[in-house]
Amino acid sequence: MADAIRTEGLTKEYVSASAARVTVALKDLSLEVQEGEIFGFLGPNGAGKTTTIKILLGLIFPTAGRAWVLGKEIWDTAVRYDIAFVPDSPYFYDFLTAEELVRFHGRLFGLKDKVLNKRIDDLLDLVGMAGARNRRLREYSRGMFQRVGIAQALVNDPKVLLLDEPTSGLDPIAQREVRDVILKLRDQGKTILLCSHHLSDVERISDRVAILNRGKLERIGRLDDLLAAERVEITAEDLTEAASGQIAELAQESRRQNGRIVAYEERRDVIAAIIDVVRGANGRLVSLIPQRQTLEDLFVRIVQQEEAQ
Amino acid sequence: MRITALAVNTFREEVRRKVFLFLLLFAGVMIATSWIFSFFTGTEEMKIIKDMGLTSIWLAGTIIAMVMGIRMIPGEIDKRTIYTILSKPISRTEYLLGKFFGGALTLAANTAIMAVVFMTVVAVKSHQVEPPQPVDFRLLGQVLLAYLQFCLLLSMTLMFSTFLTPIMNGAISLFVLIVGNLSDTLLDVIKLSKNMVVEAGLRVLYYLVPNWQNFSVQDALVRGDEKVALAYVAKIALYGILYTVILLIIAAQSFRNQEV
Repeated sequence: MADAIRTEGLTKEYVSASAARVTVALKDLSLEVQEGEIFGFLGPNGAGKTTTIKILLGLIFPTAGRAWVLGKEIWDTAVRYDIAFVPDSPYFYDFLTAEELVRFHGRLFGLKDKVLNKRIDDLLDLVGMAGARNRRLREYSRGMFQRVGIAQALVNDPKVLLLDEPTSGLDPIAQREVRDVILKLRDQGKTILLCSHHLSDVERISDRVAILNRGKLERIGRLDDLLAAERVEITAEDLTEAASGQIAELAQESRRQNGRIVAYEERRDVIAAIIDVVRGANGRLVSLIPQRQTLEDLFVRIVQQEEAQ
Repeated sequence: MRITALAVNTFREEVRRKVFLFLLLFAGVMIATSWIFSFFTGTEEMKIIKDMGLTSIWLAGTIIAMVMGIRMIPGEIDKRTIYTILSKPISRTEYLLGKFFGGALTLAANTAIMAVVFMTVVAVKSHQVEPPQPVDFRLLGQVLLAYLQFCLLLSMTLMFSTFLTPIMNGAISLFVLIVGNLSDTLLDVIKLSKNMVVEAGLRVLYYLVPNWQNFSVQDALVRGDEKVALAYVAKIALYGILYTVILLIIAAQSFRNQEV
């Protein structure tokens, strides 16, 4: 499958006015987003997600590295005929109505009124804003802004969508509707780079994810691979106090429950050692269950590990 | 097409921001002037009406041009509305030109409405005063020059806004406006100067800053001077357009490398 987005060694540094301090917003980011996939682009605030998006859109310029969208290097304005961007906050002209906003954005792509009229109707229907199309944006709630944002982004029938927190500020029903729209767009063959703090949403709809922290790429891969069982839950009973104590010392985490000990461990050699302790103490191994982690577990662990270092 | 879309949108923004409320103020001043000074003789009264009218047009246009130019781009960066525009297939130069032409369109509409009110008052009063006077349509030449001056001011403040903060932009633009209105005095000071360095500095200032005085044929028109020639208006119009183009080229170069 071809790459829809590719970055090579993308780096962005900000130098303070006195040149005394250099802040690294993005460090040597190399990744590929394949055509037709939903790619979860995750990280805590300040991790470099928005910086990456802004570089891809030509709003800021990389200090080092290169990036391509659909095979074209990003400095080429023509790239943006096939890209759509939904920002994380409602950054639109609030003196316009929803219809005027979508029409204006369509005209920036050189679309004629004949094509635009039909597309405006379809898009406002799609995002459920047809009823409020003639109201000015300044009268809108945040959720309505967000929906109009999606409508304006789709006006050029883009191949690649960069969505920065598309469900922020939406109620659960609206969040689900946006999620459905994203899935529908993927089914139409569009590539979606999705930044979101709603990790359960990302886990539900993404094909692959990348996790950034402090400007550095920490993990990238298919969700199934990243979340595959690494940790094992070991439950044992009929143990001596000394054996229980020994297991508690060996395991990453353990607790006592109804006379049993439940330990969690991901290192294979330590798991074997715990089993040896149970056997040596003539105890009974009740269960050994591989634990699939959630995206949230993985995310929190990566961020916490980095902070601990 | 894209520049037109941006320009029309900018015009719509300014209209909805109620920039045109300035016109009410202008119309008020014009109508008030037309009866406050009716105790003067006919000729004197017409001079005052013309003077007040042209000055009001100049002042309103200057304020609108400066405020628009200073605020246009930084306002979009602050509100981040610029993100969704520049993420479209729009070059920085197209964006800047769209903004400029939108501003120029706003100024044109504004100046045209003020000119209609002004000329109507002049026409009505020219027939009312004793002795009745012919309507001097050359006044429209001054309005045209004033409009070109507003466009020049707009392009200058737009250019400064690509690398200065709004406050610095306001201060420097005001300085340029004042120095440019004292160009002839500056030339006299240069002639009198005995210090080479000061003289060189003032000369650079004289040649860099647009000579706003060139745009004013108001005194001559108000006096009824017959020598105000169309050729002069055309020459200064060309001067204003050239200056505007140069400033827009500098602005485009500066904005091309600016991060938003």
